[in-house]
Amino acid sequence: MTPSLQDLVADLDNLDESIRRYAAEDLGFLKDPMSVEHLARLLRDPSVAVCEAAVDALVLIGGEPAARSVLPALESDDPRERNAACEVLRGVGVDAVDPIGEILDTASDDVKLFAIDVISALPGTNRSLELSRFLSDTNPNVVTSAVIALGQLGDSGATSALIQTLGSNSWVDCAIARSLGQIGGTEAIVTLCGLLNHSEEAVVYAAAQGLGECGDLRVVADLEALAVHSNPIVVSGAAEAVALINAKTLADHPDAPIFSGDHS
Amino acid sequence: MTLRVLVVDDSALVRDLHTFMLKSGGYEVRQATNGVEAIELILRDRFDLVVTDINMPKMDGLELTRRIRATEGYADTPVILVSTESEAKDKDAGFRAGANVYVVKPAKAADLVLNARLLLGK
Repeated sequence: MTPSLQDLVADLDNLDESIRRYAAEDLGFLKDPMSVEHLARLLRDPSVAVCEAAVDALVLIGGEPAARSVLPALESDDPRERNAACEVLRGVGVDAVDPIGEILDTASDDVKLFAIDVISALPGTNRSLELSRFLSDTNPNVVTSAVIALGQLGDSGATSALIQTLGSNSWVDCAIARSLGQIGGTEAIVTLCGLLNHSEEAVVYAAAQGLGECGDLRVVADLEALAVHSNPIVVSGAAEAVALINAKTLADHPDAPIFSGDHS
Repeated sequence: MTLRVLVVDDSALVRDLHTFMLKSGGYEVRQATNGVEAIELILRDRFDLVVTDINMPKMDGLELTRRIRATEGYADTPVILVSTESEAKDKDAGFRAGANVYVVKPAKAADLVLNARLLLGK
């Protein structure tokens, strides 16, 4: 006989770990949205196996109720519970977008960071727009996460917004340099070449890495000019960028000239 | 002999920037993307300092710190936690796990290297 929803929910409180795990799995197969709040409790279960079963069950049930049920866990003091909530939201997919959007205006910085992490992993076409709203946040960690996510999307539509965000914080500038490198294009390359003169060594290093990622032979001379930089790690970073450009060029055009990249 | 630092973070940008800062400070640096990878490296190689994030998949930084403390030969190895979480309760959780220093992201190069020097004596 198939156990009822009530029986399975009661089993979630059983002292036996295996019974809690099996009950969570069965609730996932039952796909009854009434069970999501009960399953969400298990994200803080002391057993990792039970927690993982609850995550899988919530993803199986899916929909906005499953997504909403785990939002409070994003505020948890327990990193395992927070990570489990993120996993559920990513697994639920597009149905998680609206519930996440509803909490963002009042969310703590930590929840915003998790939201960015989740949004960037979701399928859909509006992710750049959703992520760009975080570029004006007051917390540099939130801005940095949005910048990283935009770089990973590789959407050239975000280039101008990223460039406009430059100058607020050197850490953010480093992230923008890397993301511009991932997105590429003339506007990004020109900006990255300008960042090679930045007063912060870390930004110069990140800009060199970004230019390496772009793989455009026209910037090799700019990178080679860093051979006289006072920080040897910047010098080696620029040489690595030149090597990366050469490798990308060789892959695309086997007959192209190769630059030495030797800054020793 | 150059002192060896293990940088652990699931963000490539953070790993690379922390690596840049510590290499600029004269340290040799290896990287891991989460706690599980870090433990594998720690069991294989010797590190003088671990600089780790907290929120990571597979194994978070608090659990990693506890495991480091329980690993033979690593009971006294300094651990710097670097996290976006800035509240007193977060720092308290870090110290209870066994961390020596808690730095709030974004970490400044001077802070990271100065803490490394204070913990390592050079």
